[in-house]
Amino acid sequence: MGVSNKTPEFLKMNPIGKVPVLETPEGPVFESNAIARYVARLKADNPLFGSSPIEYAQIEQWIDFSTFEIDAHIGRWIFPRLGFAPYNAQTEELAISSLKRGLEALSTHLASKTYLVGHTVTLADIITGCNLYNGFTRILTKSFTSEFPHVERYFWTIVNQPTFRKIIGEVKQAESIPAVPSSKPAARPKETKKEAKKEEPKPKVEETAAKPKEAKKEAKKEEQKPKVEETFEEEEAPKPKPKNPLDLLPPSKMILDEWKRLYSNTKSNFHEVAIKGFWDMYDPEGYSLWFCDYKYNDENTVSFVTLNKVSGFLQRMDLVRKYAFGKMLVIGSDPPYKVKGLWLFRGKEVPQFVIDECYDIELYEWTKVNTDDEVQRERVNAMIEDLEPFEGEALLDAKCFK
Amino acid sequence: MGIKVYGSPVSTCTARVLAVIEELGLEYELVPVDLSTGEHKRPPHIERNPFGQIPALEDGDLVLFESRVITRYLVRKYGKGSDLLKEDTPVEAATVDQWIEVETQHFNGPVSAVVFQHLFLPLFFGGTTDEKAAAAEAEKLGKVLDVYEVKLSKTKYLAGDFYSLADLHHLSYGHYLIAATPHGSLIHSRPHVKAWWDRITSRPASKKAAAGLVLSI
Repeated sequence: MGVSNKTPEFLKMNPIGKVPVLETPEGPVFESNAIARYVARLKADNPLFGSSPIEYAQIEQWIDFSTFEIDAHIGRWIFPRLGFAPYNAQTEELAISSLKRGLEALSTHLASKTYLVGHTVTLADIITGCNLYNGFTRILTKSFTSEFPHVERYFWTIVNQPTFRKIIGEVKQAESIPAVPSSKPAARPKETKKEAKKEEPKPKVEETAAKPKEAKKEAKKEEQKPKVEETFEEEEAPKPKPKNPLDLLPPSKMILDEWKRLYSNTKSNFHEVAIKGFWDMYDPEGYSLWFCDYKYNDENTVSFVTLNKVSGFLQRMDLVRKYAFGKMLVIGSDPPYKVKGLWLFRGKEVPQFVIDECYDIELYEWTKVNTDDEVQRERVNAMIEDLEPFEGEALLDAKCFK
Repeated sequence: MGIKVYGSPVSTCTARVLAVIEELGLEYELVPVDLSTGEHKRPPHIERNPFGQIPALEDGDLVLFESRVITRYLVRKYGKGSDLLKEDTPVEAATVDQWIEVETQHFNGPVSAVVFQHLFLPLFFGGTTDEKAAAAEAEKLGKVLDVYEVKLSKTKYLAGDFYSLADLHHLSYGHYLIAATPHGSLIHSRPHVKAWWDRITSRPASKKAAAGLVLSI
């Protein structure tokens, strides 16, 4: 890489000097998709091109789709991080969002299909599988791909097909994203015995006539091996870790865990011990209290469904557990039940990342508690204590988030 | 955290579980298991269900298989106060149990055979429908539905005048019987069975679960 593929002899085969290139008795072929089609056509009557004109069209459609909407964006994301192109954060952001758009569309198609076209592997699956393989093994971690469960399932199905396994072997998903290289120029390929490996003969026609699927993957595999080896030689730039803005607030005398312990461990004289303790430790500069009121209580016609929906809300709030305490009350002895809550958040606002990540937030009216107002303080106490009757009504249930 | 269902939205037994989840308004994640690659017969799935079938349920530390057990567990845990099992009243609970058993022992055999002949066999195994076998099973199913016709002329639902798991368990195979075989008339030609079928399939939860049952030739 960077040496033999820039020689005049190689450039005669592929003027852009990239791999793979297939040498045939009639001449060279470059562009991996074109090589794949050529090789696939060498065997008459195979299922790789589908069994009807429309299937063939769909296969070509998905080949184009995965080339432009998946592979291109993966490349734009990976190559700067491997030092093969200048790194630019904005370009990377655009590449990632374009890739997500492509993966979402692919995921929608695959929601009810095992293969892209028809009911067997076609050339579309081979090409898409290889494009995804490049992404999955180098930069797409599980937390990224878990947003696209149908694509994940499809990928593992394809790479576990026996013919694929024979060529690419066991597949391991990337556990982290390659670091952005430091500002030194892109590494020049080293003149070590790696060169010898790269000189491996490119697939010849005679071999591939019998194994149309495998040649394409051999070619792709070759392309990837040298690049991966080079990455390890480079200096690892420190990965920027996003800090939670709540960690950057000035320290507060109130320790959330202390409140949670006091709440949980006070078994008797709850009002005298826990409620008093709460107000003693409460810091209105470092924390805020909020009442929330479900906007659509007329929906709450079935008791257990209402309770399960509140549980779902609390599950989704898991991301703020370190920074919050909450009580959710389901009120009423008959439907429709009213859902009201009390929340204690670190900081003086409902945290932005909670609003962004938890769609339930906008289903409630949020009112900041004025802790100087005696009436509001009593309401806070009543909600912490599960006081019944609450505002004149029985409680169906009270759920605590801590 | 949260409930995970391992299965496929096109699978009858998975849809049975999804129907209950929707009735109870539960949060869940459907984790696909690809039968076409034998994923259900290998780890990790075979560890969830040693018979290598879908669905399986994970709820916290609990792992369960058998769709008709998962449905009961979900109702017991998350459906207090619902009519789906009526566990608080032994007599009504027994009636629900009885008609759950009827679905398992009398309805499921013939209906799944008919759906297999007309849908799964050609679709997944490249086979041809054995018309004679299918017709024989359809006749058996007809006799079962004759019993349903009498019961449903006396009560709105199978276990009484309330919707229960006994009714719900019929949703998924019933759907494929009508949508993917020529034997939908077994339901439509029996007026009380048809009225019951319309009633149970028009529930929002039933529609949501049936939305995934998209297999066809």
